[in-house]
Amino acid sequence: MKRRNFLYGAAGAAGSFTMSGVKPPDWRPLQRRKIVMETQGTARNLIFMFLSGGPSQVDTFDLKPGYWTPDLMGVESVGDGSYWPAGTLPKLNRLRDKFTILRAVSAVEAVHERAVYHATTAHRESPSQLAEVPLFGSVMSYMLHDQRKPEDILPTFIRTGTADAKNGFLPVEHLGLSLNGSARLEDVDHPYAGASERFQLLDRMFESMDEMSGQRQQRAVLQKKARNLMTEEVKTLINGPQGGPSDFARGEAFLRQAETAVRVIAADRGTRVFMTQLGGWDNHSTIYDPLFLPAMSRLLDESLAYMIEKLDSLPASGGGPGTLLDQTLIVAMGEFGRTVGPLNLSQGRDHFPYAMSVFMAGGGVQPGRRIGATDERGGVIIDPGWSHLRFMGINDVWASIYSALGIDWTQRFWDTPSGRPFEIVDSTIYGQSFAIDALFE
Amino acid sequence: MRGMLILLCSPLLFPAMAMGAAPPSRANGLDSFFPAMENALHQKRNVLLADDYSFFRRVWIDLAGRLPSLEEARAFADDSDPRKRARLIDEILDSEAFTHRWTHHLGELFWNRINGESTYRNRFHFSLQEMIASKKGWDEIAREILTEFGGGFGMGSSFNFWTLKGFGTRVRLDFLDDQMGFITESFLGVRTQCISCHDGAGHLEELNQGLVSKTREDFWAMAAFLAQTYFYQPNAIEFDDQYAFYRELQLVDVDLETTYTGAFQLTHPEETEGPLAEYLAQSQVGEGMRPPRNGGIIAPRYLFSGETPAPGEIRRHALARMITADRQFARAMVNRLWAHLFAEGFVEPLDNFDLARLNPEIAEQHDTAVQPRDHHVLEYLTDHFIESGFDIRALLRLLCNSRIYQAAYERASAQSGSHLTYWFSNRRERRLDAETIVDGIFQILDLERRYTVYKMPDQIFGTTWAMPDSRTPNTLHNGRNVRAAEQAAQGLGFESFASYQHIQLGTSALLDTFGRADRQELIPRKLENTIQNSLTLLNNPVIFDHVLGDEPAPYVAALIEARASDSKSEDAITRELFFRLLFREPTPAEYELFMSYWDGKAPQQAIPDMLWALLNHPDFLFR
Repeated sequence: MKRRNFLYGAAGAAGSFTMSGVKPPDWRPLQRRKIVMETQGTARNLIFMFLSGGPSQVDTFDLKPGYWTPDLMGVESVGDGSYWPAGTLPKLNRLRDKFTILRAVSAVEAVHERAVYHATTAHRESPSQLAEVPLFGSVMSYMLHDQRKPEDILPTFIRTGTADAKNGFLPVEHLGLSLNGSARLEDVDHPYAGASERFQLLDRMFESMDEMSGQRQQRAVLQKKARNLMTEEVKTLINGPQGGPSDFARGEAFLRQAETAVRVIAADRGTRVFMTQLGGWDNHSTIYDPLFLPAMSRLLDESLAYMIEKLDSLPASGGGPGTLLDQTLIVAMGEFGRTVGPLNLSQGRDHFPYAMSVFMAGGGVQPGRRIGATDERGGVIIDPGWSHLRFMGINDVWASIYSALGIDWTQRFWDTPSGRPFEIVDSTIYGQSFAIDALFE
Repeated sequence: MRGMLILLCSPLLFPAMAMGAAPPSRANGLDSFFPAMENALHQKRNVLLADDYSFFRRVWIDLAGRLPSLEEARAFADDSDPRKRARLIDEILDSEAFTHRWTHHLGELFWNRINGESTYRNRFHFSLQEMIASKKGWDEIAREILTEFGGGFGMGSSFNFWTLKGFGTRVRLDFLDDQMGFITESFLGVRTQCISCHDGAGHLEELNQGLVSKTREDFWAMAAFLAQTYFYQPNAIEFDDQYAFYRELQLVDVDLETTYTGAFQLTHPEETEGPLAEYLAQSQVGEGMRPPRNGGIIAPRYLFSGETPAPGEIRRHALARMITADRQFARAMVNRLWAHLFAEGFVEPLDNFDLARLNPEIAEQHDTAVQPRDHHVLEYLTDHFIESGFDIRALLRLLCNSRIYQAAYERASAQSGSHLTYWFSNRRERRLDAETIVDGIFQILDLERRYTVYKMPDQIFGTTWAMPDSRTPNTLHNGRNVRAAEQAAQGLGFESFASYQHIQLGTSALLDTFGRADRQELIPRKLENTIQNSLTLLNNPVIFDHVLGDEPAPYVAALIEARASDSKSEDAITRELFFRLLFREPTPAEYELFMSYWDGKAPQQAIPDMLWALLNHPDFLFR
């Protein structure tokens, strides 16, 4: 039976404490390698922009115009038979030599919940491991932990919006910091006199407690982390110098996320991975309604262009050569593509896993490329565009991201609560994933 | 497993009762499972029961989402009646707080949110509330919802159950399929949507063995039970009056032979041809969310048994009859109720039952493993639930009276890793729900809170659990008439419109931070611990202006006054704070720490600081 394959070699590693889900304070997952992959290590930081709902690739990064395409898209030919929607992605149109598009990506899941999970964990959703598979940011937080400097006050991983996966089996320290949809951290100030004695009481109260386990211990850890963030510097870094209202309309909120991501990364105070989220791409009907895809595209255009230009204007951190953009990988993708060709009867496009596009810029990715190609409608991958001569899976995209960050994505952890090994990018179902060489060479 | 069965049958293995606590009734059948298992695995270790204070807090929080008051808890602890725990359980099951909590529970299960018009949501909320309050069986509730017809503005209307998919889906066949997927998930705990696009074979082998043998056509036949149902607007009304449009909208059941005149059909666009009251599986590429359907007229047939409606039987009535007669209907609810009390269901996620993995025999036939964590207990409870007439209270009563529920699990941990000891472990520890935390804090402070809900101008809610949805307060004004808003706010007993807004919006933000369900975005409730909610509990002004600010809440002011006038000692106040917030004595170390905190401090400094620290104690936040 297939389940058995998961379990080989796990019995010895699954000690009694891991089965209970309660980990002693000095617990660290055991790591072992299956094969050692060479990594690119070209990126110091990652900004991952998740476009939830599944944007239509044939109306954005892999535009395939037809009689259905409205004028407002501003179709422009960009050579070798490719097109760009200059009307809805105007700023990126001017920055075409700054980014690269993967057009031969194929997802496997076609239902939002499962596809989002896959796209944010590099693992397919399995009820038996639901509680232990971490979000990509938690994995990175754990893997990059040794590189933290004493002066790093911000968590390695910050995200906005919601995600199903959390820190999984990794220690709660790597849960990361979640900001609200407007990328704000609330209640940072303690606006009452006598704070120092009061907080001392709290500290000593925690010291006086019996050794805690499980959720109580996690709570104590997070509270400590929370208190370290209660400084004017952190507040300004995250919420911006002006402060401003805590809740924005969706469009403005998203731009605020992009600003915050750049500000926090540029500050170089510990945060290396930032996830932003822009929902609203699930256009089953009236996709060309000005409020739907065209409006979403302009937001995407605005924020990606902002991030590219701003990061490119800042020097690399640590006195390295080049700009901060060279050190920071920007990735924008949804969970799957959408149906191609003429619209459905509701004037929309439906879920389509077989072809989708992924946007990448900076972080050592060679700019100005369109890697892989689809047919004239955009539904069939006709040119993989990389050395493996097959379509790029979601997991190959993740292998590339991990590789850019210098993390070997084939590493396995053995002492998970279920006893099933956890591989950073899962290879149990579709075989080994590889970094997409055409991005870097 | 076979060895376990023998153990279960042996009366010799029942352990002695823990000393000192009032024993749960001997007649509790659930206990016959767990002591035997405990014994077999732990060399006759007794199951220690929680003390009266812990039990009192736990059962109030679990059954009613309410932090009880210290006075009630003291009275309970002083009561010498050996049956007081059973009596308390009955009392809570009959309380108004229980009704609010479980109305909310069902509201979340059915995603009762604003679909088009908030009145629909509000009326469905009160319909559910009425069903819980009048102790209707789960089967009767299901029947009422599944056979609903007519408009959504009537009292006792379940119309909103049909709008979630009805208004969001433009193609009629998609509506029928989506609605049926929603029905099997919420009432049977089985996700069937997969097979609305493709057959089970070749797709679901790793996800759901029970659905592998089912085909798309089987699913259409299930959805065909709804084929006679559609939305209809009887009168020609100008659409610029949206309210009138929504008021006139009807859920029509053609089988009921009620006739309507007019022409507007919301979910039946003109493109679809053929008889309205049948499931005509005929669609084209690009029509709706699914691959084309190609099967002609599909007659209704129950997906899990193959049963068809009796001649002349109204199809949705037949559906309700078959669903409520399906053992899985009872089993799914048992799983939900168990998960509510024990933090995790027999099957997780709760709507992810695989019917080919229910027990060893059927699992063996499918060459797979059993899915429920303990199928003996699950089936035992399912029998009990069916025999009680699908009485939610009766099942909760059985569970809460059991020793496993009343066990002192807080300090235990399941070191052996066996699933049998799972529910004795500190895995049962969960953070309190957002509503319990927020209501609880204001209650501790003796601050009365008044909340309103959009489109219910005259209704005041005293707890956040009672609201149809806590995120949409009544706006009180239309953005123009500020004076009217002031008057309205004062009419509701608020100082000003500003203070009304501060309380409505501030509470809403607090609930968000602590992870209430976002029904509008279909995001389920979260009991996470996060950096943000840690910060909120340290610093949030909506709470702490009343503790650490210049105008302390009544409870804080009273304590300060009592200390200043020396009517309460430092010792008495310290102990009272521990009991009021944590329902226990301070430990010696805590007592020493808190008593030393009084040194050199005025009561107006020491008391608020202690209260603030204890609100951040894990024992306050967890159950």
